[in-house]
Amino acid sequence: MFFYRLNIIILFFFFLISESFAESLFEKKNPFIFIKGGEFVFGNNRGEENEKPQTLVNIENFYINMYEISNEIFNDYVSLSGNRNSYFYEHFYLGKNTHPVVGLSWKDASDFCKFYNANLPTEAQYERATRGLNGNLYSWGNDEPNPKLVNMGSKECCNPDIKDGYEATSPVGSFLLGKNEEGVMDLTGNVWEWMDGWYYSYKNNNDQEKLFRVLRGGSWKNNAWKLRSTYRMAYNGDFRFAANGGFRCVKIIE
Amino acid sequence: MKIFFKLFLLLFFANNIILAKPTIVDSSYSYEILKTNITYPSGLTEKKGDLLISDLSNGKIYSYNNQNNLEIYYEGLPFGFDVMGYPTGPYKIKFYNDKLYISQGWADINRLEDHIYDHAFLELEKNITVITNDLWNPYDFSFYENDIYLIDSGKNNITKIDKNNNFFELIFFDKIIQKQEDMQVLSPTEFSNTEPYLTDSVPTGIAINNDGTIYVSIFGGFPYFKGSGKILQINDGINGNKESSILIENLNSPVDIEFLSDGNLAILEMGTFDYEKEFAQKDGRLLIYNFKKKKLNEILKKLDRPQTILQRKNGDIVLSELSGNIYIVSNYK
Repeated sequence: MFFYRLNIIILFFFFLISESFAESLFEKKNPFIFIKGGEFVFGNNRGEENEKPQTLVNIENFYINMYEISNEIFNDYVSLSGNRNSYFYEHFYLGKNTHPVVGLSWKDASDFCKFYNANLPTEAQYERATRGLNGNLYSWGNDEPNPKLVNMGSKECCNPDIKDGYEATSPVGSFLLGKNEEGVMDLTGNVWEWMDGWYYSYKNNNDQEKLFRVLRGGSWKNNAWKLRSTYRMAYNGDFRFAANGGFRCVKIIE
Repeated sequence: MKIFFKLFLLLFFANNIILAKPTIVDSSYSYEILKTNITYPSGLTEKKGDLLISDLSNGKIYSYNNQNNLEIYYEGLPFGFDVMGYPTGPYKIKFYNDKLYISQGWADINRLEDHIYDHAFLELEKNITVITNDLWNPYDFSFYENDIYLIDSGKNNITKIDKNNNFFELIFFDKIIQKQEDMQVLSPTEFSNTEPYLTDSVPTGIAINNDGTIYVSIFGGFPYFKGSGKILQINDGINGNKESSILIENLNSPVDIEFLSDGNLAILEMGTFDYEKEFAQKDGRLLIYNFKKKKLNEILKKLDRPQTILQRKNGDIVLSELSGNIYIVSNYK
């Protein structure tokens, strides 16, 4: 009986070690960057109806992945968790190791973050990380997007454009000039990113009967309007066939 | 741990394959499963009483004779998985005038570039002849008075290839205007304006009746809305008439059509598309359209991603499924 209990304890110990090892490997490949909390500008009175009203929001400190989650990291996760891979994991282009993983439902993305004791960013966390404290339009500031700053689409919505050097996704962290103040990459462009929570109206806090999830940041197919840090794309959370939808995670560390 | 998990998945799916049986809706029909062990049966045709079957898992064509023997008829065609993860290779095969014709897909992610059989239409007599590889996605084809009518599910057109190997684009299928409310199921912010949203009009199956009327199944384009599939009728289509009318609508991804010996049209539906799980398994149907009664009858349901329909000379209807099953459907009327 004693040995039986000892075995259980040892197994549990190994489980904890392997879990924390996986977590540290993930964080080594995609570090979490500290974002200082406080009051910041949220929403946009000059945007779409669903971006209004612009308010001041208070947020606590958090950490956010430096890069969008890559195929390489997602493949590691699939091996460890046994969960399904992305829809495009074998795609000759979209499935490249260094490119952001795309073709995931909201739950696929959320499960990944939870596996590593993290979460998808809330819309407030995403906006704080992307626009800083002063309400910038893009991760780099307020300059119009251009191919040196971001992997984006054509001027007319919504087609790819190769002026930035990529016909679709680009390896994560390719656009150094587009990073935010804290050094987080691709918060604007490359791929849309799933947010935590449901799509809701800022005006009446109505969560639209929990029908849709939210993606932020725009992608390689989008123009300046949709790349804005406040643009909110509501989408069916079950949809897992988007070649331009990915994610990253956040952590709150006390 | 990973190996055990994979083993579990394999057993799970193997079980599902065994358990996946279609349901008879019209009791005047029955079916039996042909035991072949072919992994991804796709194209079907009949040659001198033998059933020929193409396999997308290995690029082989098998011959199944009356003594229930399965033999390799031809091997060496390219195969693999396309960029969406679906098996690709010799999609359809048809025996006509002592030659076997093959519509060959194959856009494997590891493919050799510029392979001459890549997305090609092939003729097999003793050796393979490439009739054309200037295609995007050759899928189904039919014959009428020694001319070939080939569907390209990438270019969304029908090409006529005459006996002198001249090519004519007969019909191009224009995009389908989707209802805004349909698209808003996906996203209220991206599809809420008044501009129409267009999806591809993808032809899949083709059948031609005795008077030269062409019938085409239209799969509908991504994201494959429920009920967006249809069967088009093109009177005098063989002579280049481009005007089509809708014979049947509200179908779920019709993938193949075939005229039966009684003049009615058999239709194979792939089934509904799920935003999370791709094409739903066991949601395909075999339907028969009765021209005289103008009525669509459901014969079988719960087919698992069916591919091809063929009526044999003895009257039996043969169906292939991506699950690995081949069904022989008989009618006792």
